[in-house]
Amino acid sequence: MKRYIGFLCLLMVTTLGCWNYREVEELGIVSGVGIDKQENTSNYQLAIEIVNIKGGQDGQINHHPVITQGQSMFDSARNTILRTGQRAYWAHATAAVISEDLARDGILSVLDWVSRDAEVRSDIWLFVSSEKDAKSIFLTEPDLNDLVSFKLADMVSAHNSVPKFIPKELWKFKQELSAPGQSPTLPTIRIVENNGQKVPEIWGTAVFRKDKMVGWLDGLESFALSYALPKNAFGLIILPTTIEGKSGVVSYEVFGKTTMHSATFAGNRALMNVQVDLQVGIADLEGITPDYRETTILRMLEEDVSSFIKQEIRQVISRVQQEFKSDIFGFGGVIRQQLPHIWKDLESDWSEEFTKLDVRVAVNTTIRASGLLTAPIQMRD
Amino acid sequence: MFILLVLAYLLVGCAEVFLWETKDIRKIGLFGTLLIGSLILSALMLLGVDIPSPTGFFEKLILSLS
Amino acid sequence: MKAEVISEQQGISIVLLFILGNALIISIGAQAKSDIWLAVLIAIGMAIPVLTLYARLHYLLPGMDLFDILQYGFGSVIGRITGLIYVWFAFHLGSRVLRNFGEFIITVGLEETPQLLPISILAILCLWCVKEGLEVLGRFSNFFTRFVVIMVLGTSLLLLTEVDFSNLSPFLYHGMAPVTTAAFKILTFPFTETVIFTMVFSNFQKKSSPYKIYLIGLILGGLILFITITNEVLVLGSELYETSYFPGYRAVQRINIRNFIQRLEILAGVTFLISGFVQLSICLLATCKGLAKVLNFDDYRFIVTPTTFLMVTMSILIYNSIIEMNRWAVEIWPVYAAPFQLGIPVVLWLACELKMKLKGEYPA
Repeated sequence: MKRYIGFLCLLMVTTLGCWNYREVEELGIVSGVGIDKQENTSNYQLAIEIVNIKGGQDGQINHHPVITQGQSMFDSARNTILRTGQRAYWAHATAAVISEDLARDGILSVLDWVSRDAEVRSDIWLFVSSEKDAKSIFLTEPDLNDLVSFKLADMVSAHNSVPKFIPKELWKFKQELSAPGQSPTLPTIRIVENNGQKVPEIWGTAVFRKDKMVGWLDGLESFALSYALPKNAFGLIILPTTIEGKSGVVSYEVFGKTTMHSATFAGNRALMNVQVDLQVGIADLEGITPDYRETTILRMLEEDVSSFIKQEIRQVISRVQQEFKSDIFGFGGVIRQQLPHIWKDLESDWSEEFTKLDVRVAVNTTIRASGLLTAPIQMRD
Repeated sequence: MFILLVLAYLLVGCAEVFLWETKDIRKIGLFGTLLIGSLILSALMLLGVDIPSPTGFFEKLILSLS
Repeated sequence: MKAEVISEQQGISIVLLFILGNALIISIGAQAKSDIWLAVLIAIGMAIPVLTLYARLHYLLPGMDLFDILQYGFGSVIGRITGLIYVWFAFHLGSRVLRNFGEFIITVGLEETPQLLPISILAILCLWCVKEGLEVLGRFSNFFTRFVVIMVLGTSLLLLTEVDFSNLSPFLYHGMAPVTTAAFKILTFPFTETVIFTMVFSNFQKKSSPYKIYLIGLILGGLILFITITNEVLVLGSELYETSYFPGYRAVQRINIRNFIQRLEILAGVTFLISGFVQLSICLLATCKGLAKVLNFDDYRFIVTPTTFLMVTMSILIYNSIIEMNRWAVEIWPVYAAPFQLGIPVVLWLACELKMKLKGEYPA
C-alpha cells in the first residue's frame, strides 16, 4: 500500500511540469528582435527573428524576420501567433535593437516588459539603431552567420579588440539606469555596404539622460569613452608621428589598460581624477623608422601616446558635459562612494553639477613590445 | 465540480479512518471537524466567494496599533 | 506519545535548513541598501541570546515541548489558550511558506499551471513526511544539508566573476537607522522563526544538546545566509535586489562562464525546494502536535491529513497576490511575529525560572 502511494507521489512530482508542456515545434525560438514605433500610431512594431529548425542534415535557416504589431510590447510579442502560428519563446533571445525614435521618447516603456517577463533573460544585448528603423537591421545579410542576431552577438563577444562601441546587457543597462550618479549608454548599429550586400555594423554610442536618448557619439569618440571608463578595452591606437624631421604613422596595439576613477576634495569642490595606465606594443611603422632601442626615442613615443589619449578623453568628457549633460562616466557614483558628504549636496541637481565638474585626466603609457622585430627594418643601398 | 470535491474529501477521510488502528470517537470527531472546515473553505474558494483574507485583518490591526 | 529523540547532528541540519528556507529566495532586509551584510551580522548577533533562551527552556524542562512548558509556566487554562495561539502561528507560518513556494514556481517557471498544483504536491509530500515523524525528517535533513550547502556555496563561487564590490559602498550612507530596522526584520524572519522548534523538539540525546543544536544551527545557517545575501547584493546591486521578488534566482541567472556553465537557475529552485520542504514539514508537525496537545490527545498523527488540507486552502486564501505577499513578508511580519518569537518566550522563561526556584526543582 505504502509503496503504491509513494509511487503515486513520485509520479505527481515528476510529471508536474507537463502542465506547462510545450512541444518544440510549437515554439518559435526568438533569436533577436527589432523594436519600432509604428508610423502615425502609438503602436509598437516588432521585427522578430525566429530560428526555424527544419529537419534534414543541413537545415536551411530562414533569416527573414516576422513583423508584428500591437498596442504594447507584450501585445506585439504575442501577436506573432497571428502571423506564424507559433508562440514566441524568448529565453534564447540574444539581441534587441531599439529604434532611435523610441530611444528618444524614452526606453523605459520598452524595457519594462522585457525585464518583467520571466522568459526573457536579462543577459540579452541591447542596441539602438541609427538607421531610420530597427527593422532594417534584421533585413541585412548575415552572410557568415545564419542569423543577424547571432552575428551581432559575435561582434559583441570580440569587441574588446575593437573598442569602438561599448556593449550593454539588459541588466547592466538597468543597473546604470537606477544607480545614483550614473547615466546609461547603448551601442548603435548602422548599415554599411560590403561587396554590394547590406551588412550591419556596430559603430558609436547612444547617450542617455534618464531613459531618454539625448545624443550620439561616433566610433572614435566611443573609443575614447571606452578608455575613460573602468572596463577592459584593447584595440589599436593610430598616431601620426614626427621624429627627427620625418613624419609618418605609428600603430600601437594595446595589451593592457586600467582606468581608475577617484574623487578628491579640492577647495570647496569635488575633483574627479581619471588615471589611465596603458601597456602597448609597437605594431606597425609606416613612413618613419624611429630607432626605438634608444631610450629617449622610446620615452618620446610613450609620451606621444599618453598625450593623444589624454586629449581624446578630455575631448569626449567635455563634449558630454557641455552637449549632453549626462553623466555616462559614472563620476557621480564615484563621488557618492568616496565623498558621501559632498554627494548629499550635489545629488538633487546632479545633471547641472556634472557639467561644472572638474575632471583631471592623467595617462601613463609603457611600451612593452615591438612585435617580432628588435629594430625597424633596415634599408641599405 | 462541487460534488467531485465532496467525493474526494469523503474518499480521503474514509480511507484514512479505515487505516487507523484505534478508532476513538473523539479522534474521529476532531478529524471530521478539521476535514469539514477545510472542505468548506475550499468549496467557498471554488465558488469564487470573496473571503476576506486573514492577512488583511492583521494588517489593519497592526497598522491601527502603530 | 512516543518519545522522538533526534541526534545533535540531525537537529543542527534541521535548524540550518529551516533558517535557509524561504529566506534564501525572498528579498529580506532590502531597506539597509548596500549595508545589508552588516544588518545580517547584527541580526545573527541579536538572535544568539534569543535562541539561547529557547534552548534554556528545553534545558530547564527536559522531555517537554513548548505546549507542556506553557501549561507548566502559566497554568493549565492560560497555558492552553497561549498554546492555541501558537498553533495558529505555526499554521499561519506554514501557509506562508507554502504560498511563497507556489508563487515562486508559477512566477519563474510554470506560468500557466494553477498555483494549487505545485502547492498541493509539496503539501502531500510533507504530509507523508510528518506522518513518519520527526526522526525521519531529521535523517532527511542530515542527508540533504550537504547538497544544499554545496549548491549554495557553489553558486556563490561561480558568481564571483560577476561580483562588483562598488555595490557595497558607500558604507553607512543613510546612517545606522535603516540598518537596525533591517536587522530587526531579518531577526524575525528567518532567525527567530526557530521558535517553532520549541514546539517540535522535546527529547534530546544529551542535556546540553539544545544549546548546541540551536546555536550551531543558527550560526551555520546565518553564515550561509550572510554569504548568499552579500553575494546577491554584490552581483545585482542594492537597487535591483530591492525590486526583485526572488533576488536569489535572479543572481544565479547571471552565471555564465564562457557560455559553458550557464542557466543554472534550477539549482536555486532545487535548494529552495529542499529547504522549503523541511520548513513546511516542521510547521505542519508543530501545528498537529500543538493541536493534539492542547486538546489532550496522546498522538498527533491522525490529524495530519486534514491539517494539511486546511493549510493548502489557507495558503491560497491568505494573500490575493504576490504583491500582497511581499508586503506582508517585508512590512507586517516583523510586528506580527515579534510577540510570538520574543514577547511570550521571555515571559514564559521568567515564569518557569521563578516557579522552579519556588519549588526548588532546579535541575542539577
